[in-house]
Amino acid sequence: MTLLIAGIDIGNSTTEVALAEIDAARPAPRWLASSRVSTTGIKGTLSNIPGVTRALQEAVDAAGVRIDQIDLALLNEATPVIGDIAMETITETIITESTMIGHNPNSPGGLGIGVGVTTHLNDLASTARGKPVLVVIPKDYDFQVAASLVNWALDNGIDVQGGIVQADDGVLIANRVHKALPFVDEVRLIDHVPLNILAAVEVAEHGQAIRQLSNPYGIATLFNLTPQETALVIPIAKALIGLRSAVVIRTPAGDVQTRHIPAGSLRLIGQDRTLVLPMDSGADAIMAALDQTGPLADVEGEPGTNVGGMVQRVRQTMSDLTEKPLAEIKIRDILAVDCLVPQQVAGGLAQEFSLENAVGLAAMVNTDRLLMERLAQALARDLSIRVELGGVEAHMAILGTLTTPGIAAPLAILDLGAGSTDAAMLRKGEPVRSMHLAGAGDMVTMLIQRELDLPAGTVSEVAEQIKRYPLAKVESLFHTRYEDNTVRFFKEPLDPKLFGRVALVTPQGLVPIPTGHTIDRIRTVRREAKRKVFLRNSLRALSHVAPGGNIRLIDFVAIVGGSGQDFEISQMLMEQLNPYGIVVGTANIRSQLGPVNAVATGLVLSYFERQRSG
Amino acid sequence: MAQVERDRPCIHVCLVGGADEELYRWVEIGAEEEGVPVRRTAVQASEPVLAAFEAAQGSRFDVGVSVTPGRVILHERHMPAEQPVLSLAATGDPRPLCRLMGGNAARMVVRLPLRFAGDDATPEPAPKPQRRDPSSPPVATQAATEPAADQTIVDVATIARIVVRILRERGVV
Repeated sequence: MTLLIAGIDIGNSTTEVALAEIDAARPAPRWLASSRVSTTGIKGTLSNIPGVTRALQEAVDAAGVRIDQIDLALLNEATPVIGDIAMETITETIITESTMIGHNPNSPGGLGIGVGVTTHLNDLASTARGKPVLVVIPKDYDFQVAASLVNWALDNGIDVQGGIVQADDGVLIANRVHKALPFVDEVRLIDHVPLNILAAVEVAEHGQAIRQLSNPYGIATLFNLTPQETALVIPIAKALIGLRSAVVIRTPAGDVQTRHIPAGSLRLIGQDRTLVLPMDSGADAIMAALDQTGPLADVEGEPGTNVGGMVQRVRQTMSDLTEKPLAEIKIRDILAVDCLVPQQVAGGLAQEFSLENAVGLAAMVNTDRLLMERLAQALARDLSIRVELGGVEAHMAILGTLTTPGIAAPLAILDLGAGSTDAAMLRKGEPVRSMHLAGAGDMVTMLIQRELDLPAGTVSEVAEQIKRYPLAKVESLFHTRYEDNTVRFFKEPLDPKLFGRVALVTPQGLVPIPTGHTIDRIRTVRREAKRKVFLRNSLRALSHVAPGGNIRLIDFVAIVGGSGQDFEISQMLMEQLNPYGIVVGTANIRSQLGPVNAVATGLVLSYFERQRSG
Repeated sequence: MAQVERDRPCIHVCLVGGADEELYRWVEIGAEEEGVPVRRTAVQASEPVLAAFEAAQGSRFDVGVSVTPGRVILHERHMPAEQPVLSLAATGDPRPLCRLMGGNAARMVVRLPLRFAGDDATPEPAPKPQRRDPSSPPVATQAATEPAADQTIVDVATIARIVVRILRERGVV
């Protein structure tokens, strides 16, 4: 008897289908088609049905059959986990009164350091001779007029030391002033610059960064500060590091501080022991504590703090999705990641940003079998076909992976998904061991989005694309240089909008990235995000499933899952696991599908085995 | 001496169709802010795009600009002759456009992304009243009113463009 079977794997990000014809008399299923579409809604909820329907439709269309001809659809059983991610900064720089302009315009004018009293261009003529001044030039003054006024002042013995310019005119003014003076330009909120106050301007040489104003003692020297006052300017100096030009204004009441937001602490409730970790001890300490607690029973955040809010939010989301009461939502795993996030300095004049410490947290809760059963029933009703739960996801993934040419047990698999990183270990004569950890592709996307300060959204399109595609810089209208330094030439000229930009190399062509980050910076952030999430989680997951917890006893690891298709993760993993004597390879399900469709394929295979043996 | 001057790498700018001589200076100012030298050049072609192309052929930076009364064109040596890199029509005052194009020509040389009139998406926040000492001396007041004729150069589009760029650059900091 021939049966048409569909294996359906609903993941956090994609829904995959494997369609096959099985006949107990034949040695193997006859594969007809596979499909992969975006999951609709959150994994394990009834809103998955449209996605499942679309995936089935694609598969039956490819096979030339109809959905109602499917004899049995198999769902992955009781998806063990769903996860959520959140991020909070734990430090913040606040300037209680505007005191600095840290600033990296393309073209500041002139060179050097100037210290003087801020004076409006209009008031220059009435300034006392010999008194050092910094001239403030709003944008309604033409650069020629500004330059001639400054020249006139210099000729009349007024000690102009430099200038603060609102328009992009710094070079033009500096070139027309007959004394080499520093001019910081593009200071947007110039009317916030207090007048008649002592200030300092610094413009560095081409290719260099300012030194005096990024050094607390440098600022202290210029302003004659006491040690107590110097302590107050440290955040200013810190925020100015690496810039080409800057202004520091000494307002009498001015007071800049790095405020530590009470980041709070995490309470890790484990089976062996309970540990309380302050968030500012860093991600490494939290993850190390996780090793000591044993399997987690729950995690709590200190109420009234950022981390408390974060954990509460995760719990609330999970409660809404699973329709379980808040108190029954138990967090079974967390992944903490340190990062530096650009945050606007409160009280800055030119929208300065300061890199602040932040912690990203992925959390995971267990769901129960009831959810999937409910989904199976709803699906059966909607599609009028038989739907069953087919088996534990990890086992199915292993079965599917075994269709890769050249693979045999003992074998560990790493399932790199969007919401979770899973591992499973198969050894002859032993039950399959599996582990599910919080944090995967979606967390990488979030880290990229926050660290590069890309426009936020529910789905951060740009960050997602940066994660997926390599980078290139458009160096001329006819050639691009890729991130590995290779150059490609084009016959037809490129779009002038791409010129000089960092772009993503996608199958649809070059897509410019709407930020000013350099190619190196984007690449570093991207690779670090992948390393922090996938490499750490892979090691954690493999240690859990390895015999005796010893990762060195694993010989072969096959990578499956959507993130396994990533252009660099598998190579990064290979490098990382090589010292443990582990051979890592990307699975090729059914010799043709690459690392995806393992669970869906496994569901069909598992049913087929049961038919044959029973 | 003349030979040295001709060999010095410059952006080449030509005026065609009776464009105002003053416009050349605005192209030069745009390039000056980016720190790239510019030179006025004479061309055979009278058609604006071909004139810009001819200017680009003569430039050791491979970049040429042609200015006509209603349009400013940026060209590059390796482009097809009839396909300029950028061609912008002046709707109002042509001077900001010339400055923008001079800046773009320079940005091609220094390999920075070009600026487009369409980049001016971010609105300027409501302007705050200027903090100005009311007792300004007459000399300065006179000087301040004097440039009024020239001030149109800093039109709203230019300001918005600058704001957009600053915002973009904030990401680097």
